[in-house]
Amino acid sequence: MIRTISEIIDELRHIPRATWSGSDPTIPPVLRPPALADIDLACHTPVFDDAGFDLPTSLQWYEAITAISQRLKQDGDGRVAGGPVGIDALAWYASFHDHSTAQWGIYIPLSSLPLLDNLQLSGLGLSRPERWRLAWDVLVAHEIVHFAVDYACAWFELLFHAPIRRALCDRITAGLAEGIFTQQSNYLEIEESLANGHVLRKVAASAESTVAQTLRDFIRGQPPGYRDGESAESDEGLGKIAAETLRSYLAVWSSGWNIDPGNPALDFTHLIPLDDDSRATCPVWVINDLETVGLPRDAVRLITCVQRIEETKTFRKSLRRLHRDQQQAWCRLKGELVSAIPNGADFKKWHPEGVWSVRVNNSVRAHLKQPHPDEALQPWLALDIGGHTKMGHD
Amino acid sequence: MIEGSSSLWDREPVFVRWRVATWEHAALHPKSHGFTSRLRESQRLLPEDMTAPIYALLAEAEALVARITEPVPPFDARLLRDVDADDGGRNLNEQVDRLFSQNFRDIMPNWSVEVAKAIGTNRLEIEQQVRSFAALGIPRDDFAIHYGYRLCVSFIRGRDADAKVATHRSLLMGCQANTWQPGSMRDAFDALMR
Repeated sequence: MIRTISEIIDELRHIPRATWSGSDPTIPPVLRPPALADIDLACHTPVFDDAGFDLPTSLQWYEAITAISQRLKQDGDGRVAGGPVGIDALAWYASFHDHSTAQWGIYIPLSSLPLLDNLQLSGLGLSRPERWRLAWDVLVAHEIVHFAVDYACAWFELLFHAPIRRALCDRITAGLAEGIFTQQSNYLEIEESLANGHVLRKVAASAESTVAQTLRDFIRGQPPGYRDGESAESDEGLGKIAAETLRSYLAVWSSGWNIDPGNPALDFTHLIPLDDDSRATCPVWVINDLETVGLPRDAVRLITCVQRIEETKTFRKSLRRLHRDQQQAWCRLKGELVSAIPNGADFKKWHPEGVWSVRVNNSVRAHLKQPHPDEALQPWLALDIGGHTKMGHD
Repeated sequence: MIEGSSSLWDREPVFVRWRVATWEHAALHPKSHGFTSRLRESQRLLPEDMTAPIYALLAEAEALVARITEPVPPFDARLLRDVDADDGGRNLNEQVDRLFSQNFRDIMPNWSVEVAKAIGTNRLEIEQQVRSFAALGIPRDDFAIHYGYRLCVSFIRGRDADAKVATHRSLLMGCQANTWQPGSMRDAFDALMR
């Protein structure tokens, strides 16, 4: 478990120039909404509902597709004006170094899910909500690395009492020694390789081969740095790229103090928190910008929890017939669903009329009926519970 | 604090830049004169398995440079970590030179024959294209490897590059003094020193 972020942020504030005020992270940098969009916190593992979703044919949609595809694809170099490129055109990480405690975290515009689906994933044999969830996982897996590097960087800053991250940001944006050295990109290429390597390790590695190949092709087609994700896919590659990333931040201090972060016996991956517990400490913000791309506001529905569940008579009758352990498993799950959909709950749409299936334990499933979108404050109805076969799950 | 250790932070940084040069890349891209900024960008004319030992030497040379330097993005140059920059630079050059001092024959007994087989009837055309890279043409058995493949390392002292990178302090602060630069009056003097 990593140290509480708030403790680290508090200590960083004692280091001159280590924290500063960055740009507003709530404004999407590529597809700018005409008005302030709704922003909500989300969990790391949401479920999506595409009820009533129709692929738009509006000019706004095609303009958005064009704008994003231009930023996603491979360019001659990484010095592209007008905002982020590669996967960071679809989602971004706002550092706790230059954003307030109420604003830092990962930002994902909802429009990025159908856009990424349309550009890269639509040929896969998955349902649309599954493809949106895949897109979500890809974006989170990439951005979480920026958080992990940010965290590792903060440790070094506390250790050296020096504004390490700020110095790198300044070097990149200030055009230092222009004309003498060649500036490669206006982002840290090696960190983008690390982030896309994590996408391959976290998402592609556990997906079926066609999905993995699609993600691999997606990464290969991105701008410099991003497209080298495969170099960080193996454990050895990850170690090398992680070391090079942190060395990039530490360079001047290492040179000045003769510190040797390049020693091959060091493993910097231990300093980059990428385990599930650490991931959970990074907030994920969702921006509802769907109208910006010509979609209705509720075209992409995100289910992050089920706060209220009302058990029907049939459900209670079926529940009474189950073993006591299974009844307790349901009570536990019901309690967990209030705050988030647990990993492994296999929460999925069972029937187009808003009936969802949830895994209670190895052998038991429950079916829940979602309230109509116009009655969002109404509770979900627990319709039935029972063994795998009884519930129609083969 | 940075300010407290003036002797250290006023030290001059030494930047290291290297380029990879291969006659194969020169043959494919004559205008580049065979140079690329990194080995992974060098394109090959000969089959990979044939030249694998040579590219392994180039990779070893790149690793040598990377080992004693630190990446300093966004520049293409790296920072020499060694406290004694003169010794560090000399040692590095010696080690790199040693790698490429063997003859082609030493690591690939039939080099000339294999090359002739691989390029076939295109020899004349290729020799024209690599002329600016190596005046004698395609390397032969008894040539040293650095004739056809080399890593060119150069050292640039901070003061020779720019006042903004003349010392470790100026490199970190983006200017010689502590104030202003790089952005919008140094972000309103760091929000009035917070």
